[in-house]
Amino acid sequence: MELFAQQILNGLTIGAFYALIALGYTMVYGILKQINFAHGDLFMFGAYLGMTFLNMLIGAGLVSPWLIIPVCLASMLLVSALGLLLERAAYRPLRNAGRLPPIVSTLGAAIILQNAVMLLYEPRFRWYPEKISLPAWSLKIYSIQITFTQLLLLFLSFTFMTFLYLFIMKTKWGIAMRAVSLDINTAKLMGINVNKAIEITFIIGPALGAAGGIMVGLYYRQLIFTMGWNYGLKAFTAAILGGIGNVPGAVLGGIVLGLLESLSAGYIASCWKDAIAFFVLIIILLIRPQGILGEKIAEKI
Amino acid sequence: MKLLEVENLETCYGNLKVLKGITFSIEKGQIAALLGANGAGKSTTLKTISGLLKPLNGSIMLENEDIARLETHKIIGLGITHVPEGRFIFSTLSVDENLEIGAHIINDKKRVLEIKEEVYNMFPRLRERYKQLGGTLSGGEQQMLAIGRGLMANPKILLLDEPSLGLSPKLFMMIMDKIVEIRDKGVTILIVEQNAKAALKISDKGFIMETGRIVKSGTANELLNDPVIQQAYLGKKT
Repeated sequence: MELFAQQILNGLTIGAFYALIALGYTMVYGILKQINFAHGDLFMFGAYLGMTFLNMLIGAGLVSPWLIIPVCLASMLLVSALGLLLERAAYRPLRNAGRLPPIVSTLGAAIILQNAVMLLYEPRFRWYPEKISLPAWSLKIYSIQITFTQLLLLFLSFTFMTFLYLFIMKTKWGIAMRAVSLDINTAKLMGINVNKAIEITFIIGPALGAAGGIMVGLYYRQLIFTMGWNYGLKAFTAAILGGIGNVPGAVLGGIVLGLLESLSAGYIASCWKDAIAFFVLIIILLIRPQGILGEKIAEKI
Repeated sequence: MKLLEVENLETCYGNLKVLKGITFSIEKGQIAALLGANGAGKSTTLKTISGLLKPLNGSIMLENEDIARLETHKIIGLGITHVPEGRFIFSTLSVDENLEIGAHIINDKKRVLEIKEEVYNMFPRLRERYKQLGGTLSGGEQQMLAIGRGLMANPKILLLDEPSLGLSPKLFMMIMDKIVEIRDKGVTILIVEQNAKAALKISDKGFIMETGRIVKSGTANELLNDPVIQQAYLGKKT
């Protein structure tokens, strides 16, 4: 029971990271029906930027856990700018070129980003600065240990997700984005500037990815330039599991994947966690190919 | 006063020229009918006016401003709304959200609520179903929603493509009555319709298209009484 509860908590934490990254995949798919293969590397870049900013601040003599907030915001901003650049360079010129060319161009962008980070930061593990760490305080409920870091990261991820959900459901541009994702030509006829809706997608998705990157950095403390690929693959899977194009689905998919991983790591062996998690995913997708929350509504004519 | 003046408009699909230089104009506050057989280029004309298709040549003047070649969202912003053939309701959004999207170009939230109230008064059926998803409405309700959504942008001119598509005669008459009601509120209307007779009966003038050209135009009465038109489009045997 203890092990179970502890693994649920760990799974939720990892799942929240996956969910944050999965949102970027699902939003781009929703609006462009394209997969942004560079998204994992935008996440990785966010993690590295966070580390650099923290080191710079420490170099300037500033040491406080509160610094994480401005560092996180600055990284999100820069990665958003990179996301916009990616949209301009890798997607927009290929908007009418069919479905395959943008896949190739985003894969290219992914390789460029990965290599840029490898050259800038050297091809070895890097660490988040020890000097800036969150309070080591932890909560014990029965015998389940909840660390402050876990609580904070869970809280932050779910705050981001709630804001995103409210934005998409309630605001004018959120509704416009949903309209574009449903039917791009009709959205144009509503007077929606489709390019702007796409740009907003490429601002929000990478920003959330960067936040996820910094959270992974704070949680595991260790970075490698290839991490975008691993996390990206998992988050992409999470997005499909939840029903790609569906925002709550991406969150649910991320959490289900995180739970599957941590439970198989806890009960079987951690070296088997990916195999087991992906095995269960295949089963779920065989039963519901459209994903957990993905659904098609019959249209009456 | 002329609200919309189309001159020598040419539009292509790839290498195929679908509009071969059409010219017509609509006065403010009128209903004009664009008629003709399938493939004559009626929908293409509407799509070119709303900017979904870019013209090869020609001009489209909306109150002395050439809107040909502008992006669609700018054209809509200038006061043209296009209700497409097949309605294209956002099926997974509610009736209310569909209407809200129609008012995307209006920034004043209070104004949006006012217009929405007007639309609900015009189509009480939509008010009853405001929470229902667009895709679950019947064909007639979807047509009401499509027109209502078009009105949400508070247009100067409404382009209606085949509002009768798939409707029962009774619903069709109801929609035609609503179109007159909309005109009476001051909205100019350009309607594309298979049912030429019904369309001409509510119109001030009409244009007949054949293979990308306007072959005949005149007041609705002239067209209704023209023997050639009667035989070809109004189903009257001579």
